Amino acid sequence: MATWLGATSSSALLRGKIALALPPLVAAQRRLDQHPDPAAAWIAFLGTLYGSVRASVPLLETALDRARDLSTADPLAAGLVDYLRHHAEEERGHDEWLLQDLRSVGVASTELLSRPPSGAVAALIGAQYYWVLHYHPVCVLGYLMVIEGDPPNRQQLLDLQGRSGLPASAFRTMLEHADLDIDHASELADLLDRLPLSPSHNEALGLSAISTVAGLTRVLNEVGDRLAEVGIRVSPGLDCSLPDGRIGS
Amino acid sequence: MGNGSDVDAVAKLDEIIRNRGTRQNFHKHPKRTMQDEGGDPNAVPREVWDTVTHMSSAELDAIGELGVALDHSGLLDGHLAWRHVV
Repeated sequence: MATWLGATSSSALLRGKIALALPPLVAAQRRLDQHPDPAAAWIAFLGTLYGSVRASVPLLETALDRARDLSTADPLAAGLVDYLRHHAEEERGHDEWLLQDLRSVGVASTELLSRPPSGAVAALIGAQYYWVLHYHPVCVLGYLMVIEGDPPNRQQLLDLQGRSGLPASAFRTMLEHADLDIDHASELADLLDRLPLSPSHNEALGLSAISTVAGLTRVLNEVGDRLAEVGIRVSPGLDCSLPDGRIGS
Repeated sequence: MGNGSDVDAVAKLDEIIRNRGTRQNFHKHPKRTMQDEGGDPNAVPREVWDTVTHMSSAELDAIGELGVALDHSGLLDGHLAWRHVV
């Protein structure tokens, strides 16, 4: 529970709520980490990850539009505008990075893009649209705090690359985020502590974050279940599709 | 989580939060509910106690429905590679 800083600020309180919710997500991560074929598991994970990453900028832009609409009468919404605009620009193109990473290990983008998206990913992202459009755009910060508040660990990624035998190109996007998201988490915490958040807003942020943890857990468990069902073995440079043509998403 | 009393207290807190009835009681009267259920509220790490006592009933419901206990050893210290990014 090292992430707890004491529940004295909005960011610390939100981090505390996230820490309480994390065990099932860590269990799902651990299941993939212990998969006997790390290369197959990583490729399946990236395919699924693409499903949510391609939704990041549109989601942030939707939150930005909503914040702008509310901003003349709502100081909280006004306080989000610059952050959301800047953050959407920072995240732009990361979906293409992931496609390149996948192409580098033989996964065809056309196949990935033609596949119906996972219901778990749609539910994860769809919940954010609901909160943003029907309650308040600040809710998206609960989602971001879960995802960017605890960035990928560079050494763990390098260890996994070594175990998997996959080329470094398959880890490029995640390694970039291991560095980028440290600053993003800090910026987000600073923003949360500056915003005029009411108890209701703090509650909505908590519900958004806990829902995000639950959604990510479901997404990762889907990947784990699919790998377990098909019992695949994929090697770098060879056909990386599952026997039924799926990789993830 | 450090000593055994911390672990026992968090396990008791987890049990309370997983049960709808005790969860509702906890939201209204946290200390009294812990004591009534045989737990020691003073043994819960302060950051955990501060967090759960600042949570709304809906937030506690959401945590309670996640399905994995707070006291699963080691799960809270994971630094695994399988993170989502934006």
